[in-house]
Amino acid sequence: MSQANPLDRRDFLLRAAKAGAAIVAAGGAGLWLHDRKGPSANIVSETVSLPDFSLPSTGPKMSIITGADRVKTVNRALAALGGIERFIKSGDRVVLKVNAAFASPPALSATSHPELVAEVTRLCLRAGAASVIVTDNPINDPPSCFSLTGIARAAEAAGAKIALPTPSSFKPTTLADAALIKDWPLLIEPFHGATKLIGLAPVKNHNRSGASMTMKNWYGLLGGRRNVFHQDINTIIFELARLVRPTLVILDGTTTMMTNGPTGGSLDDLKATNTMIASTDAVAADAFGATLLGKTAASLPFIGKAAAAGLGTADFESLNPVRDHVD
Amino acid sequence: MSQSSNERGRTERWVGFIILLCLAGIAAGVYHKQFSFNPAVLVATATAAAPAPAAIKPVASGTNDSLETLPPELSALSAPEMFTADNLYDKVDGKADLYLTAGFVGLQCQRLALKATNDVWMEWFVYDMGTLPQAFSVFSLQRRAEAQTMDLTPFAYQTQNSLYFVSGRYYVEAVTAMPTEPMMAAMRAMARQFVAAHPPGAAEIPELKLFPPENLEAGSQGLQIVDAFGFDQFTNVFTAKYRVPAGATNAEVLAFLELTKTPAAAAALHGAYRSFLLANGGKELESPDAASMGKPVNFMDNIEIVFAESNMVVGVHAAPDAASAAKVAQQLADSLRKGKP
Repeated sequence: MSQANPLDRRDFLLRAAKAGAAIVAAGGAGLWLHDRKGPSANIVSETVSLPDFSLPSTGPKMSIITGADRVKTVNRALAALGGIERFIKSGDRVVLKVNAAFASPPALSATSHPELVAEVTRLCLRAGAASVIVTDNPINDPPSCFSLTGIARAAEAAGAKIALPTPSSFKPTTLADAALIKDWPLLIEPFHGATKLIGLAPVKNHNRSGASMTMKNWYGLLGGRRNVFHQDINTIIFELARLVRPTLVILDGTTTMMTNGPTGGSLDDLKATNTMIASTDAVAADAFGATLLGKTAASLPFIGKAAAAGLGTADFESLNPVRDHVD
Repeated sequence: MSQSSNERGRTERWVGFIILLCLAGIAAGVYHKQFSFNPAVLVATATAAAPAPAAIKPVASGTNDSLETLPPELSALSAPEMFTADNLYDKVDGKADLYLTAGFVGLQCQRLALKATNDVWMEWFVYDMGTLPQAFSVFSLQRRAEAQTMDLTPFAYQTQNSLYFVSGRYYVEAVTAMPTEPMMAAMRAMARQFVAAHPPGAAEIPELKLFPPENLEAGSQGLQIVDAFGFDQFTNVFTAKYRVPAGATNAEVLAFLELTKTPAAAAALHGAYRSFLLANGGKELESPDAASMGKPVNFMDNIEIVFAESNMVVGVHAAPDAASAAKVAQQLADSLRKGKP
């Protein structure tokens, strides 16, 4: 092998110039491509959270009233808990979170029944509430849902205001130690100034979670492409139960959607179970609601998760629920 | 080589090793992070313009033109809506997976009203499922117990307020909350027009004919395309319910079969399902039919029978007792072996 030629001055300068040009080009390209803001991914730094609307003084209570007339059963159910006045005081600003998910007539029982929404509105106003706001973020087009379900007309006639969601109604929220609720849009606008929250949910079969009741009802407070959560439906329901601490929940089992939920469609999917449940413990309410579907609380994992986290009890009998019947 | 070269080589090896360790650490970190993804980031980076479902409008014509030619007694009450796999959720929420896992292609729907009384209306849903078996699958999985068979297509029924049918690759629903006789008649007319406008072609599913007719419950046949009986290797499992006289009552037994490409594949699938049952607490039972149909398995106080027959996995699922299970399994086996269902 011959020895390499020694580098002369000209070669050295040429190579140094080329290397310098390469460094300048690479640095310039890096500067040009640099994103000073970084991948924000639309995540807004301002996050919100819901206040705790529960009333520690009331403790866990529950009533189970049978009867076919929603107006009578809900009145009796609330009276059994000490009356609506125990929960709603003069000047309260009440939010009713209904299930208006689908543009579906009330006869198909896929949504909260307008008679029930109207009666609870009247009771709150009679107890001295300064305002009642009825809201939900439906699956289908919101105006159609609130209109075709009959909820808008009934609630407004009873004195409530309907809060339809718009893109500006949502702010991101993060639940501490959550697996799913991180920087997620939450329907917050209707809660500005609110002092009490009541959940009104029907009892329905659900294709993914097995059941849709009071805890699943909070799903309607989520925005964004929330369907991604269907892959882990039990965890999202559990996290929602952690996120939302209502004053009271009312579970309407007057007509139960036994099959093909959550949309149903056929009257054959429905069964007259003639039961109204009111409770300060959403876990207990759902545990009882499971029985209306012919299921047990143990067969619905979200109930077990919520109970294990101390959000309520799956052993609803331990609350000594008040039972009664009204004709 | 000089000593300094050796030292330099050792140093380079150590430096290289440390770099590789760093890369492995980064890879492990990435691997770990993927299991704790932030859904908000995932969704936001996928579609930056989707703050809330309320903002997502289904594709609509903006006019009340109808999807189909309407019978004279009906008129369009709303614009037609169209949904794809990306936004089916915006229409049917938690039920979307049922369609998506069965091969869903698209949904068109529209609200239609009786001309005579505009407040009596129905909603018309046309699910394009891609193939007849896939349309049949979603039809069968939602079949109502009190359904009344309709003389429309081989797979059609009505309830007191709605009708459901399969026509070729389409699964169609018509639902009203006001089931007046004029409305129900209009729905039936609409259905007949749809079938005429979209001829179903080959309307039969050959696998359904493999179930013997004796004691077969009418309209009970079904198709589960994914995760049948909670077993993820079962795909395209055809089922049928049988009523077996048992004492004063009739026991209901679900028979099933899945076709595979080869007998070896059937044997392997049968073995995998049996292992799945046993691994999840099932106990094999002694039986005189064990030689031909394998040992029955007591699984959560119900009886499972599963065996391979040619290129098929065959059996009964969740039967209430061993005698009824054996009877239906034997009937199915005899029928398949004779080749004369």
